[in-house]
Amino acid sequence: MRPEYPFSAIVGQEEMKLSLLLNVIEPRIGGVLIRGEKGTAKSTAVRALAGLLPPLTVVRGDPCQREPGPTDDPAAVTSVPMRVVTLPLGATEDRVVGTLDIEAAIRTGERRFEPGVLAAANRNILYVDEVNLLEDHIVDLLLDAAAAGVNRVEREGISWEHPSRFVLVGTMNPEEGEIRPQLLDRFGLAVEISAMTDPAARVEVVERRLAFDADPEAFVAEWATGTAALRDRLERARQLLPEVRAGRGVKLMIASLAIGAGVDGHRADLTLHRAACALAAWNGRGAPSEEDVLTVAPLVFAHRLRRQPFDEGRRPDDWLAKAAAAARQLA
Amino acid sequence: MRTQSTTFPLSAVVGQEQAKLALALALVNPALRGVLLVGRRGTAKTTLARAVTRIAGDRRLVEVPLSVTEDRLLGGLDLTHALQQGERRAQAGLLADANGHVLYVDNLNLLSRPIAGLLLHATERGAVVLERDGLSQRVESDFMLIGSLDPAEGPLSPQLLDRFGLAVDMAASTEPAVRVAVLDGREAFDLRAPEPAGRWAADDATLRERVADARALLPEVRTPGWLIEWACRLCLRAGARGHRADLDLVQAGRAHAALAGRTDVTLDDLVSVAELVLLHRRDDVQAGTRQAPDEVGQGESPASREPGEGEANDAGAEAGSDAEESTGGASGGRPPAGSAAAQEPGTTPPTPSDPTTEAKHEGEDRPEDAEGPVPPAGAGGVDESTPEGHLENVAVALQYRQNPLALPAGRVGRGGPLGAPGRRGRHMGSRRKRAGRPDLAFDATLRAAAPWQRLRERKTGLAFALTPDDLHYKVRRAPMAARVLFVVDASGSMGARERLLAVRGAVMTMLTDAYRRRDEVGLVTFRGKEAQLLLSPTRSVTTAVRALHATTFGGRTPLAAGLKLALDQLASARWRKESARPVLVLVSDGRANVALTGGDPLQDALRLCHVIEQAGVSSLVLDTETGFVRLGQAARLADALGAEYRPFAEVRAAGIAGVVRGVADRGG
Repeated sequence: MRPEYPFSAIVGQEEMKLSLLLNVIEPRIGGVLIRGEKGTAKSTAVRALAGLLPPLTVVRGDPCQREPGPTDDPAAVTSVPMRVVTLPLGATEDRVVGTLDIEAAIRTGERRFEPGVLAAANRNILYVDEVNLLEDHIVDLLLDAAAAGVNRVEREGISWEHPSRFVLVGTMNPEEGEIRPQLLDRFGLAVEISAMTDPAARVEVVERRLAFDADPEAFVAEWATGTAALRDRLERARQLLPEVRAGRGVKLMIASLAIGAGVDGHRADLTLHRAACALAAWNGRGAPSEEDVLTVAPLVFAHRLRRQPFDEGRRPDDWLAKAAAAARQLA
Repeated sequence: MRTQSTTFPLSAVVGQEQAKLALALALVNPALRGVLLVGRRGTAKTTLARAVTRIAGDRRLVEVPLSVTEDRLLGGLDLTHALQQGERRAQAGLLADANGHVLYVDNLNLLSRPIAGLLLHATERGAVVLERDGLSQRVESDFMLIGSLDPAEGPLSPQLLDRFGLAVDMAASTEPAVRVAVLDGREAFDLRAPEPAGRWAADDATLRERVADARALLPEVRTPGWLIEWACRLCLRAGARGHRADLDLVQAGRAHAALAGRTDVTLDDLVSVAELVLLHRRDDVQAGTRQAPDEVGQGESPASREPGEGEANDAGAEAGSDAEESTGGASGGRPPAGSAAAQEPGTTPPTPSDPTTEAKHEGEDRPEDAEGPVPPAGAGGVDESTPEGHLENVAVALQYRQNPLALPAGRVGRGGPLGAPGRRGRHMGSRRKRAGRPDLAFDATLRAAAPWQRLRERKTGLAFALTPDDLHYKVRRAPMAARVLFVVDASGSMGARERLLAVRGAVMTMLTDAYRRRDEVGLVTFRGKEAQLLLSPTRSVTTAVRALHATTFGGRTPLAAGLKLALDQLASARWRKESARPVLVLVSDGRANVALTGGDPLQDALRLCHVIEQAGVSSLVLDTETGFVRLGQAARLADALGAEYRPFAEVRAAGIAGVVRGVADRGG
């Protein structure tokens, strides 16, 4: 199998890259939806992320990678890399939620649960390409699991449940139709990306891709230093994150931004807080600054603002600048 | 499977040199993924696709039937093996079968969107991830894709178009000598005449070797940096969004150089392949806004292409014989078919349901892309000897190339009433747990139950134990959603702006609320001499916003032209499998003062109304007539359409979107 294109070799698209990295640092941000036109390295970036993911501590052989508890045999505790689990468009329900092990049923008449994609995705990244085209009944299953953090299966007389907490990453081209609002709401962050129009950048894209296609292994090796540096920085950020605390001023700013945006509930506040802390950790600081909040705020609010017909595609920057000024005064 | 002797030889296909080139390039360089053949019926699309095996070495052709289901395409559990051997094994689907070979899909635009999406996704990744029937695996599926598409049958989304590295416009020749050559070739083949057969076989063999050599040479082919930059700038200039076009242009140039036995890509290589790479990625194609339908073959006015340039290229494109090819090549290395604009002869007789075809020619002098930049007067101002001049030439030639993916006018599908919802849609796949549906998928149900038979207690007398859990129901693509087309009078100045603003608001409301229903909404306006498709029916809010910004008002009132355009749009959806229920919303006071036929404008409009009604379109007429003296013509139109009739002002207050939704739900 040929290697994935390295994350560090992706040209431009800084916002998309940042939103993915923040989710690796702080999985509770809740994933990211990448909206953009065709041919803008959306899928490439998500798949490339796999090369940067940290290890998870698990009990050997556990199909849903649970965090080892006090009752688990310490000898069985091991470390596996965090993964990008793909939910393909043609997936059937039984493979998403899991089903009985068919082979066991036929051979031995044994009822044995065989975990599905939702089990594999626990503590990992669940990636749906063209998420706006996912069939409604599969979306329902995803939403159920995402809301509860648990997947429950009742089939052939057995019940089974397992944790299913995943970082949901979706990519879509809005020209192909929109995404269901309930699903949209599940994404912590959203980014809009478009192709670069600077010829020099485009040339860079083509040259790197040509080099990769010509000899993938050599290309990956060539970028290994950059990849290692990114991975180290991610690891330091993850270590630092538990100690990152937002000051009262920053929290007030977050709250007033959310109020200004007129979003429902508190989810946006929480996400903004987590994303700002993750960004601070990424930059090696113990507390997020107002600047951090303003950097991630567009990612948090992009898909949560009520749509203004004819303002579509315009970023909420103007609004954000005003809200930030007001928030500063308040704080 | 066809054997070599029963496959029509590639060398025997007359003309279509661009298509042959594209196929050879894709065979040489897998990075190009696939070739899209765009053309009307009878333009040798399928013949060419099958003939590819003659130059493809040991690669064979796997054909995807239109009726393909997800199961068959992706593969699934091999049930026989599971029951007999007690082992779980994947049964290969067509995508796995095609690994290492050539996959052909005829009428790609008739495949359902999800199936087409799966197919093109595999094309890009070289593999499919299978999460079905208790199987979870990655299946290698690395193939070259050939897709064909008849634009008369409906569009293909820009996202899917972009997955094809190359696209070819397959117009039939208008040159009698060429057409005779086509006949001769076919006759000789059918009679198994030994003379040309031997020559064809030899020519095919030569080409096969050339392709094989080029494939071997490809890894050594290098592209100088300045040419990569040139390619990127051309793609930007041509309005191709995304980065795939840039890369495909360079890759196609490499394949072109390899076919010539060279290891260095030249400017000529890029110029020769530019049209193949950019044809389907131009701005107007990509934005999903198609030109107002032109009468194909007549619509290409002299003004719409450059004088001089067109002639030289015609020679190269039409015949494809060696002599004429070299003429094209000598003219400074322009793309051989740079402006081989649809030479489609008027082979399509007007259909009975189209009373207006003949009168259309008078208003045909509009260039295909009226909003595009004004071309330089002739190509004279551009210095062809520089790369810059080449870039300009190629870009301009592309711009004035007729959009082959535009929906031709006067085509109302293949007749018959609209597909009714319910149990008549095509069977796409099957799902569990849809109680209450009458449509049991017997095979899927048995498959679901089979593995558990040893576990279950069988009732006496029954060979098979079923539980409600096993029941699978067929999933069909029934036309649940609506395809709503607003047709709005933009003539006059009083009120036109206001009408349009209200309708825009309704369009946006419908689109932003339409996630679950997947309605498509489009907008046609009519004013001055013609109707304009402002927004091709779409589900995308983004596309709508982009399209709905620029509008002009005022002028005369060509009502019939608006209705005609609407008819074309609504009828084109009919044969797509995801076909939506067509709904027309006419916003007008019924006044008309520009006719299509030269007769009475209102009679024209009424006649079209009847045709629209006959086509099974649900309609709503919103009457904008105000004032003291009223003519009541909108009510007459509503009668002819069999439409619901409401005063615009009243509906506007109540919310247009809601009323339209009501009509859409009742119709069909």
